[in-house]
Amino acid sequence: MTTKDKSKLLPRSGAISRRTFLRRSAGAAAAATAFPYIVPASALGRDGFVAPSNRIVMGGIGLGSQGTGNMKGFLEFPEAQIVAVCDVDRSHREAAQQIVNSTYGDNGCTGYGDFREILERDDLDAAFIAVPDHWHAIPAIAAARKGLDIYAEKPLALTISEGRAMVDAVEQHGIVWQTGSWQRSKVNFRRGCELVRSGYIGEVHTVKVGLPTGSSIESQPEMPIPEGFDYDFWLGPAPEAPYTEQRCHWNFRWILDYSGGQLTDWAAHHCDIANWGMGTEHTGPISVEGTGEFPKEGLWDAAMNYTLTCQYPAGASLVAPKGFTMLVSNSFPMGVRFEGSEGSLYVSRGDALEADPASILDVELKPNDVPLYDSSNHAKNFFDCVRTRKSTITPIQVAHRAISIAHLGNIAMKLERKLNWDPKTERFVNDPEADRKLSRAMRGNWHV
Amino acid sequence: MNHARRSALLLLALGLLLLPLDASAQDLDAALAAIKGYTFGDSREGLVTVEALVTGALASPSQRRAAAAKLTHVLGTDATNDCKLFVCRQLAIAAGPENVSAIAPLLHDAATTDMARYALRPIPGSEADKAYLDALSKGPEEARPGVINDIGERGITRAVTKLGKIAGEGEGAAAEAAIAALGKIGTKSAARKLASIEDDVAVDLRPAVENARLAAAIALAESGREEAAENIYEDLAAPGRTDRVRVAAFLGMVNIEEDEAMEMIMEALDGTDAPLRAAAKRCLYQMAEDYEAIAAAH
Repeated sequence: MTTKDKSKLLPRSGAISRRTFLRRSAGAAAAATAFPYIVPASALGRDGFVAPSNRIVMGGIGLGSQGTGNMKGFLEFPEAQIVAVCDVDRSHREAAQQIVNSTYGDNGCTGYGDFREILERDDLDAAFIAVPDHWHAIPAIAAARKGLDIYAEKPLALTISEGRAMVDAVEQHGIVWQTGSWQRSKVNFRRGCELVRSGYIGEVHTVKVGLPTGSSIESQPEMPIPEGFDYDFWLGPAPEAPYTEQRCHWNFRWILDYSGGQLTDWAAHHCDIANWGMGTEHTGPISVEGTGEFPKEGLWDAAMNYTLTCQYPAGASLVAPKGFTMLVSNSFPMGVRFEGSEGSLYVSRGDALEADPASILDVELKPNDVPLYDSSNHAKNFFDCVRTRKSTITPIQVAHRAISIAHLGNIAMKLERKLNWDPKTERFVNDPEADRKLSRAMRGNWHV
Repeated sequence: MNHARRSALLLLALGLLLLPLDASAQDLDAALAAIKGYTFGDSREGLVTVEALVTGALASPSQRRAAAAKLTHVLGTDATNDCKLFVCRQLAIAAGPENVSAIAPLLHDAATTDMARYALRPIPGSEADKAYLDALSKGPEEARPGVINDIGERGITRAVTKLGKIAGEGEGAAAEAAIAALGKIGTKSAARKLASIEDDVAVDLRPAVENARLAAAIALAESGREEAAENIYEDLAAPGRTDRVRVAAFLGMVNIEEDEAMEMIMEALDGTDAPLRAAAKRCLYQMAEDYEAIAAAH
């Protein structure tokens, strides 16, 4: 639900009765929907399998390395059933089909080259999406409009505008969304954020987010498009560009037409954790400035070295009553370091959790402390929420806010000046020039 | 100091002030000349130089205008299309309404319409709106969907009648784009057009019409036209609609009617309609999370 100005809610004559609205809608469904299904007893509890009618039927869009990795994780859950996969690269698609069919011991997985076709199926409950960033918005919005629950990869979107369109579609259709920001389902990240949120390092004044350094590559020649790869579809809404191997698949990340470099690739993880620790998951900074070193030659053009300074005002975080500064840079150790008046805490992958003083880590949370959402497995959390309709541990709204930090940073670096941002309106403050960078035209017929 | 000497000194000071402007303008001329033949795979150094000069020019309105004029000049030359595409990307940040007339002709060529849109879409004002409307009427068929998409994103209300006609063609990429654009424009007139064509479009476009009507309902509600939004939601909740549309209509109504929202949610929760029940559950969990966030912030 969204907040509304109550003064506008006046009784109106002739307004549709809410009960009439529901009765009509429910009547339509009652006429069309059969009595709740009866599961044959023989299908229950046999060899530990989940009855087919109780499974979450899934289709996958984007089966490159990340998508296939996600899919393999889903295949470990008997409550999921993958029936279809889609990729514009036939080799990826067929490899994914092979994995699914081998797992189930049949040939039931259908392959598609066009996400619109897979979404026409009537048997899907959910979709998992792992496509390049420039493709995140269109199929995700299409899947949300079909009423499918979605597990989709980070970073949420290529631009702030596309991210907002995705959030709106998910909310409009009431679907469950899980972002692939799986760090939240690791105990050290949750524990670290709980300690910070509960005030055990005192008033936080600085958060340092360490991300990787980017790369460059020399100019690349145009190459023949590999057999079975629908390259024009891969480009999709991005500008026309000739095919070359280092442009596609994993390495799209380093090209600003498709992504935002290491900054966006990893901010989706570590800025998310920074937000979680600070309780700023539903807001954003009020100013951003940055310096970046972008490759001057070659195919890859995203920033290699970068430092962003993001200011949060007083009131944005309960543990930073005077406001705080979030620094994002490849010059820091990978991970997130929270610095407060009574100590510091560092958390990163590989179960890293350190504090100064170290005794902070021995704290048992008290009743007045802030326990955070507990998920021990990111995929299981998604499946549980599909059934219960609760929000997942990384709903789309928090993914949008996390990656917005990185997008703002890229914009600030490109414009080479400090930008003032209104996180409520999601516009720059009195800065129509910077606002131009919030969205991009899409090539050809593509649109959100 | 006599008058002549004072005038000379003033002129010298003025010249010194203008020197950096003139130097950077000459730099941009030279830099643009250097990339005129750019094709993919060439060194990007020249492009980086141009980008740096354009970015530097943004600091001053007069320098920005001067830079934009030089960039648009390239569009009318025999520079390569790769060069022109790059120039359009720079114009996306540098161009103003005064540059529209130089960019607009590219909308009318299928080979250059996409690059023109990169430059034109962010430019505010009626000049760019008019350029899009002209392209809608006179541009090549294959360019129409992209032009229409941008018209929708810009919210050009003057296009509603024409879009309604294109949407009413009932099939094809342009019709699909027009349907979506009407939803984004989201005026009462756009909503009426969508309702009027719904039964006439090709079967595969009917979901697009429903999506556009939902989008229009949201736009109407946000602009205070709640009764118009409710009428759309009522229609979209009617018998024969798919579950996904009924759920979206239900959620839309819940969002509008804050006071009666809980009553609606509870009735759905207690009802026999499984999709609405699931949507109602989702609403309650979302509300609980929102209230928890409010409590945590105090």
